Amino acid sequence: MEDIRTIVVKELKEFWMARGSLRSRLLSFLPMVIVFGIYLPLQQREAWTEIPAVAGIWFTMLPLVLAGGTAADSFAGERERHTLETLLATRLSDRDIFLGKVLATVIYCVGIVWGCALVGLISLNVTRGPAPFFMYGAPVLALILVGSILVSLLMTAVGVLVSLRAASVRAAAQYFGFATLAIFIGLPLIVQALPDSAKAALDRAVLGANWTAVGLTVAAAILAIDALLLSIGIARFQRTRLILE
Amino acid sequence: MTAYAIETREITRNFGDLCAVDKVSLQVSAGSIFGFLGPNGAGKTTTLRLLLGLLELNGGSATVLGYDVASQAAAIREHTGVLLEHDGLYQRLSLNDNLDFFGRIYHLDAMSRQKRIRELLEHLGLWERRHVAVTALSRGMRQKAAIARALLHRPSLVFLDEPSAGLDPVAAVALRQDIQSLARKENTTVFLTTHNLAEAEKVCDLVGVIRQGRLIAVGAPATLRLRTGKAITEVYGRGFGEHALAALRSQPQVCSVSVQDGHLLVELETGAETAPLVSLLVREGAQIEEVRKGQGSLEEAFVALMRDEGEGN
Repeated sequence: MEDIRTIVVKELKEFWMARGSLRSRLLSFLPMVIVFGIYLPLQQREAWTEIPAVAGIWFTMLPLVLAGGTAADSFAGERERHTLETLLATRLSDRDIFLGKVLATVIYCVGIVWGCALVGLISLNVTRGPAPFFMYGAPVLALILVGSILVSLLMTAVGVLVSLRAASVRAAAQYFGFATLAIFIGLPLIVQALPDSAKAALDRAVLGANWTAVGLTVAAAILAIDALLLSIGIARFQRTRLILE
Repeated sequence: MTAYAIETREITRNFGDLCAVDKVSLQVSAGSIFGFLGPNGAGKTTTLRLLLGLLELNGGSATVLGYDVASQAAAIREHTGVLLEHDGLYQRLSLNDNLDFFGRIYHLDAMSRQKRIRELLEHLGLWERRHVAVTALSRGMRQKAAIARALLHRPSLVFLDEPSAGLDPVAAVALRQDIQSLARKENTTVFLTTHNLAEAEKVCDLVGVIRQGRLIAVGAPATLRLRTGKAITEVYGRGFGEHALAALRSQPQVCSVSVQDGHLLVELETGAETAPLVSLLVREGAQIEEVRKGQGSLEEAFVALMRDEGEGN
C-alpha cells in the first residue's frame, strides 16, 4: 500500500502543478464550482437535494468529463515526457504503478464532485431564507458518494487502458473521446432502433420501476465492469511491452 | 555479493530479424567504473535494458549484483540506480519533490530522505535550487539532478546511459568529475554507456566496445589504446626534404609520414622507438629542434576497432 500511496501523492502533485501558478490553478476549478456548486443548485433549489435525476445525475456525469483526460495523461503523458522508462526502472511493481495511477485519477475526480456537492449545499443554505435547512436526500447522497466513485473508476479504467497503448496524450484523448462518443450516441441509437412494442415495454418498465432496485443493479453492474477493466489493465501492464512500444 | 557486479554469458536480444545484442559476455568488477562504448545503434541501451530486466533475454544468462536478470529483475531494480537516455525527472515538480518521490519509492524515511537529498544536492551545487521546478533548470543541472536521483538510495550499482550527451564541454567535464567523485566516495559500481571516448578514457577503469550488437573488445583504456592505437610523433625542425621523408617511410615501424605546417607527423607502430628515426633524419640532413612523442588516444583505438570490424564483416 505504501508504494501505491507514493504514486498517488506524486500524481496528485502533478495534477495540481500542471495548472501553472496558484491563481491559474484556482481559476481552473472556478467554472465547475460556479456551475455545479452555485448556478445549478440555486436554480433547482429543493430538486437539487431531493430528486436523484437532477443533482445525482449531474454529479455522476461530471467524472465522465474529468476522468478521461486525466487518465489519458497517466501513461501516455509519462511516455511523452520521457519519464516512463525511469519509473519502470525503479523497484515499484507493475501492479502498484498501475493501481497508484488509477487511484490518483479517481481521487481527483471524486474530490471535485464531492467538493462541488458541498459548495452546492452551502450555497443553498446560505440563500435559503425562511425555508428549512437543505440536506441531500439519501438517494441523491448515495449517487454523489457512491455513484461518483463507480463512474470515476469506470472512466479511469477505460482511460488508463487507452493510455497504456497510445503513443501520445493527444492520441489517448482522441481514442477516449471516440469511445465515450460511441457510448453516448450508440445507446440512444440502439433504443431508437428497437421495435415500437419493445419501446412501449421499455417506457412501462421505466415508469413503473423500483428505482432503488434499478440503482443497486446498475451500481453492481458498473462495479463488475470496473473490476473486469482493472483486471485487464493489470494484465496488460507489462514493463517489456511498454518499453518496446 | 559476488566479486562481479555484472556478469553476462552470451546474452542475446533480437528485434525481429535484427540482432541488437549478439552473445555478449562480460564481467564488471564491483566498485569499478565500466564504460560501454559504441556508435549509435550498436546495442548499448538494449544491453542496459536487458541488465535491468526491462527487456527479456532471447538467449544467454546474466547476473547483476548476484541476481539473475531473467527471474530476479525486481531485486536488481531495488539495488540499482539509473539515469537513462532522458533524465526522467518530472518537469512540473520541483527538484526537491522529484528526489523526495524517488526517496519514497526506495522507502527512505523522512529524515534520511531529507538528509540524503541535502548531501547530494550540496555536493552537486544544486541545494539552493531545490525548490525550483525542474523545467526551469538548465540541461546540465537536470543531468546532475538525475545523477542525484540515481544515487539517492545508495545503490551498489548505477547505470548511466550517455550522461553527458547534449551537454556543453564545461558542463560535461563538471558532470564527469561529479560521477567520478560520487562513485569513489560511495564505493558504487558504475556502468556507463557513452560514445564520448574522451569521457570514457578519463573516467573508466575498464571499457567494452560494442558494434552491431557484438562485443569486440574489453580492457582498460590504456590497454585498448596500446592494442589498437597508433602513436603519433611530431618532429619540429628544418630540412625535411624528399630524401628524408622517403628514408622515414622505408622504415618498417613507420605507418605514415606527413608534413603539416612545416613539421612532420609520423605515425608509428605501437611500442616503436623514436630515437633511431631522429638519427635517421639527422643523417639525411634534417635539423631537429624538438620531438613530441604522442600516445594513441582511445578515440584512435576505437576508430581502428570499428574499421577492423567493418573490414572483417
